[in-house]
Amino acid sequence: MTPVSAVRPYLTLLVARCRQETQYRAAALFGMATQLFWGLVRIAIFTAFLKAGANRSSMSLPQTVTYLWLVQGMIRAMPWSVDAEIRNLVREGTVVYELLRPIDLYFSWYMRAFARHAIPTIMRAIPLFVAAVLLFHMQMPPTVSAGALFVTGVVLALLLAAAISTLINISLLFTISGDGIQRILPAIANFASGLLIPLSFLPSALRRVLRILPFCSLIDTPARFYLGQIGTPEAASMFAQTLIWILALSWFGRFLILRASKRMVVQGG
Amino acid sequence: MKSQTSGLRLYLSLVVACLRGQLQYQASFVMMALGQFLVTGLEFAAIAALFYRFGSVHGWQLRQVAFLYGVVGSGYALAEGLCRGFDQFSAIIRRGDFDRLLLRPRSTILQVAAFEVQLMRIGRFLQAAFVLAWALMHLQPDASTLIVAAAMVTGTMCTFCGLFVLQATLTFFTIETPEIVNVVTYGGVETASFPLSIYPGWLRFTFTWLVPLASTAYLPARLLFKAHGPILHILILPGCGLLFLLASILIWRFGERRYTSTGS
Repeated sequence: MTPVSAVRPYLTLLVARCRQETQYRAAALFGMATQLFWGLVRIAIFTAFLKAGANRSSMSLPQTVTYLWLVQGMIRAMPWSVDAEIRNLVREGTVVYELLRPIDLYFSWYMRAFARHAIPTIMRAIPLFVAAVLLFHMQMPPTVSAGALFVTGVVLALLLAAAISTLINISLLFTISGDGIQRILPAIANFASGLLIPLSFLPSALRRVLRILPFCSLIDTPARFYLGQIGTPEAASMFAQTLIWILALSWFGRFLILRASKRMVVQGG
Repeated sequence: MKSQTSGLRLYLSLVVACLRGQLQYQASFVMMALGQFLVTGLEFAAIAALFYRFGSVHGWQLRQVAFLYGVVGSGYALAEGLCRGFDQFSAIIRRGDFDRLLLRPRSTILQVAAFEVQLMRIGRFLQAAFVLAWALMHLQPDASTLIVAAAMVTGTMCTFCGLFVLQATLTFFTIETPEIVNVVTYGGVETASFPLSIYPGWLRFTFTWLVPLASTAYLPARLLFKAHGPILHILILPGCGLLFLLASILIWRFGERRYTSTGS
Protein backbone atom coordinates (compact mmCIF):
# COMPACT_ATOMS: atom_id res chain seq x y z
CA MET A 1 0.00 0.00 0.00
CA THR A 2 1.38 3.40 -0.91
CA PRO A 3 1.50 6.03 1.84
CA VAL A 4 -1.08 8.16 0.01
CA SER A 5 -3.69 5.42 -0.20
CA ALA A 6 -3.07 4.56 3.47
CA VAL A 7 -3.90 8.09 4.56
CA ARG A 8 -6.80 8.64 2.20
CA PRO A 9 -9.63 7.08 4.26
CA TYR A 10 -8.75 9.27 7.23
CA LEU A 11 -8.63 12.40 5.11
CA THR A 12 -12.01 11.52 3.58
CA LEU A 13 -13.37 11.00 7.09
CA LEU A 14 -11.95 14.34 8.20
CA VAL A 15 -13.48 16.21 5.27
CA ALA A 16 -16.86 14.57 5.83
CA ARG A 17 -16.88 15.43 9.56
CA CYS A 18 -15.79 19.00 8.80
CA ARG A 19 -18.64 19.40 6.30
CA GLN A 20 -21.06 18.10 8.88
CA GLU A 21 -19.80 20.59 11.47
CA THR A 22 -20.21 23.54 9.09
CA GLN A 23 -23.96 22.82 9.01
CA TYR A 24 -24.40 24.43 12.42
CA ARG A 25 -24.04 28.00 11.27
CA ALA A 26 -27.01 29.41 13.19
CA ALA A 27 -25.69 27.77 16.35
CA ALA A 28 -22.33 29.39 15.69
CA LEU A 29 -23.98 32.79 15.36
CA PHE A 30 -25.87 32.44 18.64
CA GLY A 31 -22.71 31.04 20.19
CA MET A 32 -20.82 34.11 19.08
CA ALA A 33 -23.38 36.36 20.78
CA THR A 34 -22.96 34.33 23.98
CA GLN A 35 -19.19 34.63 23.73
CA LEU A 36 -19.45 38.40 23.24
CA PHE A 37 -21.47 38.66 26.43
CA TRP A 38 -19.01 36.50 28.39
CA GLY A 39 -16.10 38.46 27.02
CA LEU A 40 -17.62 41.74 28.19
CA VAL A 41 -18.33 40.36 31.68
CA ARG A 42 -14.83 38.91 32.05
CA ILE A 43 -13.29 42.16 30.79
CA ALA A 44 -15.28 44.19 33.35
CA ILE A 45 -14.05 41.91 36.15
CA PHE A 46 -10.40 42.00 35.10
CA THR A 47 -10.50 45.74 34.41
CA ALA A 48 -11.71 46.35 37.97
CA PHE A 49 -8.82 44.29 39.36
CA LEU A 50 -6.21 45.88 37.12
CA LYS A 51 -7.37 49.37 38.00
CA ALA A 52 -7.01 48.47 41.68
CA GLY A 53 -3.32 47.60 41.25
CA ALA A 54 -1.97 48.27 37.77
CA ASN A 55 1.61 48.22 39.07
CA ARG A 56 1.13 44.62 40.25
CA SER A 57 -0.07 43.39 36.88
CA SER A 58 2.07 41.32 34.55
CA MET A 59 0.13 42.57 31.51
CA SER A 60 -1.17 45.99 30.55
CA LEU A 61 -4.94 46.53 30.41
CA PRO A 62 -5.14 46.46 26.57
CA GLN A 63 -3.09 43.25 26.55
CA THR A 64 -5.35 41.68 29.17
CA VAL A 65 -8.46 42.66 27.22
CA THR A 66 -6.97 41.12 24.08
CA TYR A 67 -6.09 37.94 26.01
CA LEU A 68 -9.67 37.66 27.29
CA TRP A 69 -11.06 37.95 23.73
CA LEU A 70 -8.62 35.28 22.56
CA VAL A 71 -9.96 33.03 25.35
CA GLN A 72 -13.53 33.56 24.12
CA GLY A 73 -12.50 32.77 20.55
CA MET A 74 -10.69 29.57 21.53
CA ILE A 75 -13.40 28.23 23.84
CA ARG A 76 -14.56 25.53 21.41
CA ALA A 77 -11.03 24.15 21.33
CA MET A 78 -11.39 23.13 24.97
CA PRO A 79 -11.77 19.37 25.48
CA TRP A 80 -14.93 19.72 27.56
CA SER A 81 -17.20 16.84 26.71
CA VAL A 82 -17.35 13.38 25.24
CA ASP A 83 -18.66 12.97 21.74
CA ALA A 84 -22.34 12.09 22.30
CA GLU A 85 -22.34 9.84 19.22
CA ILE A 86 -19.40 7.81 20.52
CA ARG A 87 -21.06 7.54 23.93
CA ASN A 88 -24.15 6.06 22.27
CA LEU A 89 -22.00 3.68 20.22
CA VAL A 90 -20.43 2.37 23.41
CA ARG A 91 -23.69 2.23 25.40
CA GLU A 92 -25.61 0.44 22.68
CA GLY A 93 -22.77 -1.89 21.75
CA THR A 94 -22.71 -0.73 18.12
CA VAL A 95 -19.07 0.14 18.70
CA VAL A 96 -18.30 -3.37 17.37
CA TYR A 97 -19.21 -2.12 13.89
CA GLU A 98 -16.47 0.47 14.30
CA LEU A 99 -14.04 -2.36 15.04
CA LEU A 100 -15.11 -4.24 11.94
CA ARG A 101 -14.03 -1.44 9.64
CA PRO A 102 -10.63 -1.96 8.03
CA ILE A 103 -9.26 1.31 9.40
CA ASP A 104 -7.46 2.25 12.57
CA LEU A 105 -10.05 3.08 15.22
CA TYR A 106 -7.79 5.58 16.98
CA PHE A 107 -7.15 7.71 13.93
CA SER A 108 -10.76 7.63 12.80
CA TRP A 109 -11.88 8.89 16.26
CA TYR A 110 -9.04 11.40 16.27
CA MET A 111 -10.24 12.86 12.97
CA ARG A 112 -13.80 13.17 14.33
CA ALA A 113 -12.48 14.96 17.41
CA PHE A 114 -10.30 17.27 15.34
CA ALA A 115 -13.25 18.31 13.15
CA ARG A 116 -15.41 18.77 16.25
CA HIS A 117 -12.91 21.26 17.70
CA ALA A 118 -11.50 22.93 14.61
CA ILE A 119 -14.63 23.84 12.65
CA PRO A 120 -16.67 25.42 15.50
CA THR A 121 -13.55 27.27 16.67
CA ILE A 122 -12.94 28.75 13.23
CA MET A 123 -16.62 29.55 12.65
CA ARG A 124 -16.91 31.39 15.95
CA ALA A 125 -13.46 32.88 16.43
CA ILE A 126 -13.14 34.77 13.15
CA PRO A 127 -16.39 36.80 13.36
CA LEU A 128 -15.85 37.22 17.11
CA PHE A 129 -12.34 38.63 16.62
CA VAL A 130 -13.56 40.98 13.88
CA ALA A 131 -16.31 42.31 16.17
CA ALA A 132 -13.93 42.55 19.15
CA VAL A 133 -11.24 44.39 17.19
CA LEU A 134 -13.73 46.84 15.68
CA LEU A 135 -15.91 47.46 18.72
CA PHE A 136 -14.38 46.17 21.93
CA HIS A 137 -10.71 47.22 22.15
CA MET A 138 -9.10 43.97 21.04
CA GLN A 139 -5.61 44.67 19.68
CA MET A 140 -4.10 43.27 16.50
CA PRO A 141 -0.85 41.29 16.86
CA PRO A 142 2.08 43.77 17.08
CA THR A 143 4.09 42.16 14.27
CA VAL A 144 3.47 39.87 11.32
CA SER A 145 5.67 37.19 12.88
CA ALA A 146 3.60 37.32 16.11
CA GLY A 147 0.51 36.72 14.00
CA ALA A 148 2.18 33.82 12.18
CA LEU A 149 3.30 32.25 15.48
CA PHE A 150 -0.25 32.63 16.78
CA VAL A 151 -1.77 30.82 13.78
CA THR A 152 0.75 27.98 14.18
CA GLY A 153 -0.01 27.89 17.90
CA VAL A 154 -3.74 27.59 17.21
CA VAL A 155 -3.21 24.70 14.77
CA LEU A 156 -1.15 22.88 17.41
CA ALA A 157 -3.77 23.71 20.06
CA LEU A 158 -6.47 22.11 17.92
CA LEU A 159 -4.32 19.01 17.29
CA LEU A 160 -3.69 18.75 21.04
CA ALA A 161 -7.35 19.32 21.91
CA ALA A 162 -8.29 16.48 19.55
CA ALA A 163 -5.76 14.19 21.26
CA ILE A 164 -7.13 15.01 24.75
CA SER A 165 -10.75 14.71 23.57
CA THR A 166 -10.05 11.35 21.98
CA LEU A 167 -8.54 10.14 25.26
CA ILE A 168 -11.75 11.19 27.07
CA ASN A 169 -13.79 9.35 24.42
CA ILE A 170 -11.62 6.25 24.84
CA SER A 171 -12.24 6.31 28.59
CA LEU A 172 -15.84 5.36 27.70
CA LEU A 173 -14.57 1.96 26.61
CA PHE A 174 -13.40 1.34 30.16
CA THR A 175 -16.13 2.99 32.26
CA ILE A 176 -19.17 3.07 29.89
CA SER A 177 -20.60 6.16 31.62
CA GLY A 178 -17.34 8.10 31.40
CA ASP A 179 -18.53 10.22 34.30
CA GLY A 180 -15.27 10.53 36.19
CA ILE A 181 -12.54 11.58 33.79
CA GLN A 182 -15.11 13.37 31.66
CA ARG A 183 -15.62 15.91 34.42
CA ILE A 184 -12.27 16.01 36.16
CA LEU A 185 -10.07 16.50 33.10
CA PRO A 186 -12.02 19.54 31.79
CA ALA A 187 -11.93 21.12 35.26
CA ILE A 188 -8.15 20.89 35.31
CA ALA A 189 -7.94 22.00 31.68
CA ASN A 190 -9.98 25.15 32.43
CA PHE A 191 -7.57 26.26 35.11
CA ALA A 192 -4.30 25.08 33.56
CA SER A 193 -5.00 26.42 30.04
CA GLY A 194 -5.42 30.06 31.09
CA LEU A 195 -9.18 30.01 30.43
CA LEU A 196 -10.08 31.08 33.98
CA ILE A 197 -7.12 33.39 34.54
CA PRO A 198 -4.14 34.27 32.36
CA LEU A 199 -1.29 32.09 33.62
CA SER A 200 1.01 35.09 34.00
CA PHE A 201 -1.30 36.38 36.77
CA LEU A 202 -0.65 33.26 38.86
CA PRO A 203 2.12 32.92 41.47
CA SER A 204 5.34 32.00 39.67
CA ALA A 205 5.84 28.56 41.27
CA LEU A 206 2.37 27.43 40.16
CA ARG A 207 2.85 29.01 36.75
CA ARG A 208 6.07 27.06 36.16
CA VAL A 209 4.29 23.76 36.87
CA LEU A 210 1.33 24.63 34.64
CA ARG A 211 3.60 25.56 31.75
CA ILE A 212 5.03 22.03 31.74
CA LEU A 213 1.57 20.44 31.51
CA PRO A 214 0.00 20.12 28.05
CA PHE A 215 -3.02 22.33 28.77
CA CYS A 216 -1.19 25.67 28.53
CA SER A 217 -0.78 25.04 24.79
CA LEU A 218 -4.57 25.21 24.36
CA ILE A 219 -4.97 28.93 25.13
CA ASP A 220 -2.15 30.53 27.10
CA THR A 221 0.71 29.80 24.67
CA PRO A 222 -1.12 30.90 21.48
CA ALA A 223 -2.32 34.01 23.33
CA ARG A 224 1.24 34.91 24.33
CA PHE A 225 2.32 34.46 20.71
CA TYR A 226 -0.48 36.79 19.63
CA LEU A 227 0.56 39.45 22.14
CA GLY A 228 4.15 39.27 20.87
CA GLN A 229 5.49 38.22 24.27
CA ILE A 230 7.57 35.36 22.85
CA GLY A 231 10.44 35.56 20.35
CA THR A 232 10.93 33.04 17.54
CA PRO A 233 13.74 30.96 19.17
CA GLU A 234 11.75 30.50 22.37
CA ALA A 235 8.65 29.77 20.31
CA ALA A 236 10.45 26.88 18.57
CA SER A 237 11.07 25.12 21.87
CA MET A 238 7.44 25.68 22.90
CA PHE A 239 6.21 24.20 19.62
CA ALA A 240 8.48 21.23 20.26
CA GLN A 241 7.01 20.77 23.74
CA THR A 242 3.45 20.87 22.38
CA LEU A 243 4.33 18.41 19.62
CA ILE A 244 5.83 16.01 22.15
CA TRP A 245 2.60 16.16 24.18
CA ILE A 246 0.46 15.57 21.09
CA LEU A 247 2.55 12.54 20.12
CA ALA A 248 2.66 11.18 23.67
CA LEU A 249 -1.08 11.53 24.25
CA SER A 250 -1.87 10.04 20.83
CA TRP A 251 0.44 7.10 21.47
CA PHE A 252 -1.20 6.56 24.86
CA GLY A 253 -4.68 6.78 23.35
CA ARG A 254 -3.79 4.28 20.63
CA PHE A 255 -2.28 1.95 23.24
CA LEU A 256 -5.49 2.13 25.32
CA ILE A 257 -7.76 1.56 22.35
CA LEU A 258 -5.82 -1.53 21.27
CA ARG A 259 -5.98 -2.89 24.78
CA ALA A 260 -9.67 -2.12 25.11
CA SER A 261 -10.53 -3.79 21.81
CA LYS A 262 -8.88 -7.00 23.00
CA ARG A 263 -10.92 -7.21 26.20
CA MET A 264 -14.07 -5.51 25.06
CA VAL A 265 -17.36 -6.91 26.32
CA VAL A 266 -20.15 -5.81 24.05
CA GLN A 267 -23.35 -4.66 25.74
CA GLY A 268 -26.77 -5.50 24.46
CA GLY A 269 -28.20 -8.42 22.54
CA MET B 1 -55.18 24.03 49.14
CA LYS B 2 -55.59 20.31 49.72
CA SER B 3 -54.52 19.52 46.18
CA GLN B 4 -51.44 21.69 46.62
CA THR B 5 -50.20 19.85 49.71
CA SER B 6 -50.77 16.51 48.02
CA GLY B 7 -48.92 17.91 45.00
CA LEU B 8 -45.97 18.79 47.21
CA ARG B 9 -46.07 15.34 48.78
CA LEU B 10 -46.01 13.84 45.29
CA TYR B 11 -43.05 16.06 44.38
CA LEU B 12 -41.16 14.87 47.46
CA SER B 13 -41.84 11.21 46.79
CA LEU B 14 -40.74 11.62 43.15
CA VAL B 15 -37.57 13.35 44.34
CA VAL B 16 -36.84 10.57 46.80
CA ALA B 17 -37.36 7.92 44.12
CA CYS B 18 -35.03 9.82 41.79
CA LEU B 19 -32.34 10.13 44.47
CA ARG B 20 -32.57 6.47 45.41
CA GLY B 21 -32.14 5.57 41.77
CA GLN B 22 -28.97 7.63 41.50
CA LEU B 23 -27.53 6.18 44.70
CA GLN B 24 -27.59 2.75 43.03
CA TYR B 25 -24.55 3.92 41.05
CA GLN B 26 -22.38 4.94 43.95
CA ALA B 27 -19.01 5.14 42.24
CA SER B 28 -20.51 7.18 39.43
CA PHE B 29 -22.21 9.52 41.90
CA VAL B 30 -19.05 10.06 43.92
CA MET B 31 -17.00 10.80 40.80
CA MET B 32 -19.57 13.22 39.42
CA ALA B 33 -19.96 15.06 42.72
CA LEU B 34 -16.17 15.25 43.02
CA GLY B 35 -15.95 16.53 39.47
CA GLN B 36 -18.51 19.25 40.20
CA PHE B 37 -16.61 20.18 43.36
CA LEU B 38 -13.37 20.42 41.42
CA VAL B 39 -14.82 22.48 38.56
CA THR B 40 -16.14 25.24 40.78
CA GLY B 41 -13.34 24.84 43.32
CA LEU B 42 -10.77 25.71 40.65
CA GLU B 43 -12.95 28.62 39.54
CA PHE B 44 -12.74 29.98 43.05
CA ALA B 45 -8.99 29.33 43.10
CA ALA B 46 -8.71 31.63 40.07
CA ILE B 47 -10.64 34.36 41.91
CA ALA B 48 -8.41 33.91 44.97
CA ALA B 49 -5.33 34.18 42.72
CA LEU B 50 -6.62 37.52 41.41
CA PHE B 51 -6.95 38.84 44.97
CA TYR B 52 -3.53 37.43 45.85
CA ARG B 53 -2.04 39.57 43.11
CA PHE B 54 -4.22 42.68 43.17
CA GLY B 55 -5.31 42.90 46.83
CA SER B 56 -8.86 44.18 46.49
CA VAL B 57 -11.46 45.22 43.97
CA HIS B 58 -13.60 48.35 44.39
CA GLY B 59 -12.89 48.23 48.12
CA TRP B 60 -14.02 44.61 48.44
CA GLN B 61 -11.67 42.12 50.09
CA LEU B 62 -11.42 38.42 49.19
CA ARG B 63 -13.59 37.37 52.16
CA GLN B 64 -16.35 39.76 51.16
CA VAL B 65 -16.35 38.60 47.54
CA ALA B 66 -16.18 35.02 48.86
CA PHE B 67 -19.41 35.74 50.75
CA LEU B 68 -21.11 36.90 47.54
CA TYR B 69 -19.68 33.95 45.62
CA GLY B 70 -20.88 31.50 48.30
CA VAL B 71 -24.41 32.92 48.35
CA VAL B 72 -24.76 32.92 44.56
CA GLY B 73 -23.03 29.55 44.07
CA SER B 74 -25.05 27.68 46.69
CA GLY B 75 -28.31 29.33 45.59
CA TYR B 76 -27.60 28.33 42.00
CA ALA B 77 -26.62 24.75 42.94
CA LEU B 78 -29.86 24.35 44.92
CA ALA B 79 -31.93 25.69 42.04
CA GLU B 80 -30.14 23.45 39.55
CA GLY B 81 -30.63 20.45 41.82
CA LEU B 82 -34.33 21.11 42.39
CA CYS B 83 -35.38 22.44 38.97
CA ARG B 84 -33.17 20.54 36.54
CA GLY B 85 -36.29 19.37 34.69
CA PHE B 86 -36.87 22.93 33.46
CA ASP B 87 -33.29 23.14 32.24
CA GLN B 88 -33.87 20.03 30.10
CA PHE B 89 -37.36 21.00 29.14
CA SER B 90 -36.65 21.20 25.40
CA ALA B 91 -35.98 17.44 25.41
CA ILE B 92 -39.29 16.84 27.23
CA ILE B 93 -41.12 18.97 24.65
CA ARG B 94 -39.40 17.38 21.65
CA ARG B 95 -40.20 13.84 22.74
CA GLY B 96 -43.81 14.83 23.32
CA ASP B 97 -43.44 13.83 26.98
CA PHE B 98 -45.13 17.02 28.09
CA ASP B 99 -48.46 15.70 26.80
CA ARG B 100 -48.27 12.92 29.35
CA LEU B 101 -47.65 15.41 32.14
CA LEU B 102 -50.71 17.39 31.04
CA LEU B 103 -52.89 14.31 31.38
CA ARG B 104 -52.10 13.91 35.06
CA PRO B 105 -54.26 15.75 37.58
CA ARG B 106 -51.29 17.48 39.22
CA SER B 107 -49.50 20.80 38.72
CA THR B 108 -47.20 20.64 35.69
CA ILE B 109 -44.72 22.87 37.51
CA LEU B 110 -44.15 20.27 40.22
CA GLN B 111 -44.04 17.41 37.73
CA VAL B 112 -41.42 19.10 35.55
CA ALA B 113 -39.41 20.13 38.61
CA ALA B 114 -39.39 16.51 39.79
CA PHE B 115 -38.51 15.20 36.32
CA GLU B 116 -34.88 14.89 37.23
CA VAL B 117 -33.22 15.80 40.52
CA GLN B 118 -29.48 15.59 40.16
CA LEU B 119 -27.78 14.46 43.30
CA MET B 120 -24.34 15.23 41.89
CA ARG B 121 -25.18 18.94 42.21
CA ILE B 122 -24.33 18.40 45.84
CA GLY B 123 -20.67 18.71 44.81
CA ARG B 124 -21.17 22.23 43.58
CA PHE B 125 -23.40 23.10 46.54
CA LEU B 126 -20.85 21.87 49.09
CA GLN B 127 -18.04 23.80 47.42
CA ALA B 128 -20.05 27.04 47.50
CA ALA B 129 -21.24 26.33 51.05
CA PHE B 130 -17.63 25.84 52.22
CA VAL B 131 -16.64 29.17 50.70
CA LEU B 132 -19.69 30.80 52.30
CA ALA B 133 -18.88 29.31 55.72
CA TRP B 134 -15.24 30.45 55.42
CA ALA B 135 -16.38 33.97 54.55
CA LEU B 136 -18.94 34.03 57.38
CA MET B 137 -16.39 32.96 59.99
CA HIS B 138 -14.43 36.08 59.20
CA LEU B 139 -17.49 38.29 59.63
CA GLN B 140 -18.06 36.99 63.18
CA PRO B 141 -21.73 36.46 62.51
CA ASP B 142 -24.52 36.85 65.02
CA ALA B 143 -27.91 35.20 64.67
CA SER B 144 -29.37 37.95 62.50
CA THR B 145 -26.41 37.81 60.06
CA LEU B 146 -26.99 34.09 59.64
CA ILE B 147 -30.72 34.68 59.05
CA VAL B 148 -29.92 37.28 56.40
CA ALA B 149 -27.37 34.95 54.76
CA ALA B 150 -29.90 32.09 54.68
CA ALA B 151 -32.50 34.45 53.18
CA MET B 152 -29.99 35.56 50.54
CA VAL B 153 -29.28 31.96 49.53
CA THR B 154 -33.03 31.23 49.39
CA GLY B 155 -33.75 34.38 47.40
CA THR B 156 -30.95 33.59 44.94
CA MET B 157 -32.24 30.03 44.62
CA CYS B 158 -35.75 31.34 43.86
CA THR B 159 -34.38 33.75 41.24
CA PHE B 160 -32.53 30.97 39.42
CA CYS B 161 -35.57 28.66 39.70
CA GLY B 162 -37.58 31.49 38.12
CA LEU B 163 -35.00 31.79 35.33
CA PHE B 164 -35.18 28.05 34.63
CA VAL B 165 -39.00 28.27 34.53
CA LEU B 166 -38.81 31.22 32.10
CA GLN B 167 -36.26 29.39 29.96
CA ALA B 168 -38.62 26.41 29.79
CA THR B 169 -41.59 28.68 29.01
CA LEU B 170 -39.64 29.99 26.03
CA THR B 171 -39.38 26.39 24.81
CA PHE B 172 -43.19 26.23 24.44
CA PHE B 173 -42.70 28.61 21.52
CA THR B 174 -39.20 27.81 20.23
CA ILE B 175 -38.94 24.01 20.93
CA GLU B 176 -35.12 24.28 21.09
CA THR B 177 -33.52 26.22 23.92
CA PRO B 178 -31.18 28.75 22.34
CA GLU B 179 -27.66 28.75 23.82
CA ILE B 180 -28.00 32.48 24.41
CA VAL B 181 -30.32 31.77 27.36
CA ASN B 182 -27.23 30.61 29.28
CA VAL B 183 -26.21 34.23 29.34
CA VAL B 184 -28.66 34.97 32.15
CA THR B 185 -28.20 31.68 34.05
CA TYR B 186 -24.47 30.87 33.92
CA GLY B 187 -23.79 34.51 33.17
CA GLY B 188 -25.86 35.49 36.20
CA VAL B 189 -23.75 33.25 38.45
CA GLU B 190 -20.54 34.76 37.14
CA THR B 191 -21.77 38.35 37.22
CA ALA B 192 -23.43 38.24 40.65
CA SER B 193 -20.36 36.64 42.25
CA PHE B 194 -18.60 40.01 42.08
CA PRO B 195 -19.72 43.40 43.41
CA LEU B 196 -22.11 44.80 40.82
CA SER B 197 -20.43 48.21 40.92
CA ILE B 198 -17.59 46.96 38.69
CA TYR B 199 -19.87 46.43 35.67
CA PRO B 200 -20.98 48.80 32.91
CA GLY B 201 -24.48 50.25 33.23
CA TRP B 202 -26.32 47.83 30.91
CA LEU B 203 -25.10 44.83 32.91
CA ARG B 204 -26.02 46.45 36.23
CA PHE B 205 -29.47 47.27 34.84
CA THR B 206 -30.01 43.68 33.60
CA PHE B 207 -29.12 42.05 36.89
CA THR B 208 -30.94 44.61 39.03
CA TRP B 209 -34.23 45.28 37.27
CA LEU B 210 -34.74 42.37 34.85
CA VAL B 211 -33.21 39.57 36.94
CA PRO B 212 -33.25 40.56 40.63
CA LEU B 213 -29.87 39.02 41.52
CA ALA B 214 -28.67 42.39 42.83
CA SER B 215 -31.34 42.42 45.51
CA THR B 216 -30.72 38.82 46.55
CA ALA B 217 -26.91 39.06 46.69
CA TYR B 218 -25.01 42.30 46.07
CA LEU B 219 -27.25 44.87 47.78
CA PRO B 220 -27.90 42.95 51.02
CA ALA B 221 -24.20 42.00 51.19
CA ARG B 222 -23.21 45.65 50.94
CA LEU B 223 -25.66 46.61 53.65
CA LEU B 224 -24.46 43.73 55.81
CA PHE B 225 -20.82 44.80 55.62
CA LYS B 226 -21.68 48.39 56.50
CA ALA B 227 -24.27 47.67 59.16
CA HIS B 228 -23.74 48.70 62.74
CA GLY B 229 -27.27 48.33 64.05
CA PRO B 230 -30.15 45.89 63.65
CA ILE B 231 -30.10 44.42 60.17
CA LEU B 232 -33.21 42.30 59.83
CA HIS B 233 -34.91 44.95 57.67
CA ILE B 234 -32.47 43.82 54.94
CA LEU B 235 -34.63 40.72 54.59
CA ILE B 236 -36.99 42.64 52.30
CA LEU B 237 -34.38 42.58 49.52
CA PRO B 238 -33.97 38.81 49.04
CA GLY B 239 -37.78 38.62 49.06
CA CYS B 240 -37.64 39.97 45.49
CA GLY B 241 -36.33 36.55 44.44
CA LEU B 242 -39.54 34.95 45.62
CA LEU B 243 -41.63 37.53 43.76
CA PHE B 244 -39.59 36.85 40.63
CA LEU B 245 -40.29 33.11 40.94
CA LEU B 246 -44.03 33.73 41.42
CA ALA B 247 -44.08 36.01 38.36
CA SER B 248 -42.24 33.34 36.33
CA ILE B 249 -44.85 30.76 37.32
CA LEU B 250 -47.62 33.07 36.09
CA ILE B 251 -45.80 33.48 32.75
CA TRP B 252 -45.38 29.69 32.59
CA ARG B 253 -49.15 29.23 32.97
CA PHE B 254 -49.65 31.71 30.13
CA GLY B 255 -47.20 29.80 27.89
CA GLU B 256 -48.70 26.46 28.81
CA ARG B 257 -52.13 27.53 27.54
CA ARG B 258 -50.58 28.22 24.15
CA TYR B 259 -48.70 24.93 23.96
CA THR B 260 -49.18 22.77 20.89
CA SER B 261 -47.70 19.29 20.98
CA THR B 262 -44.81 18.23 18.76
CA GLY B 263 -45.84 14.59 19.13
CA SER B 264 -47.45 12.52 16.44
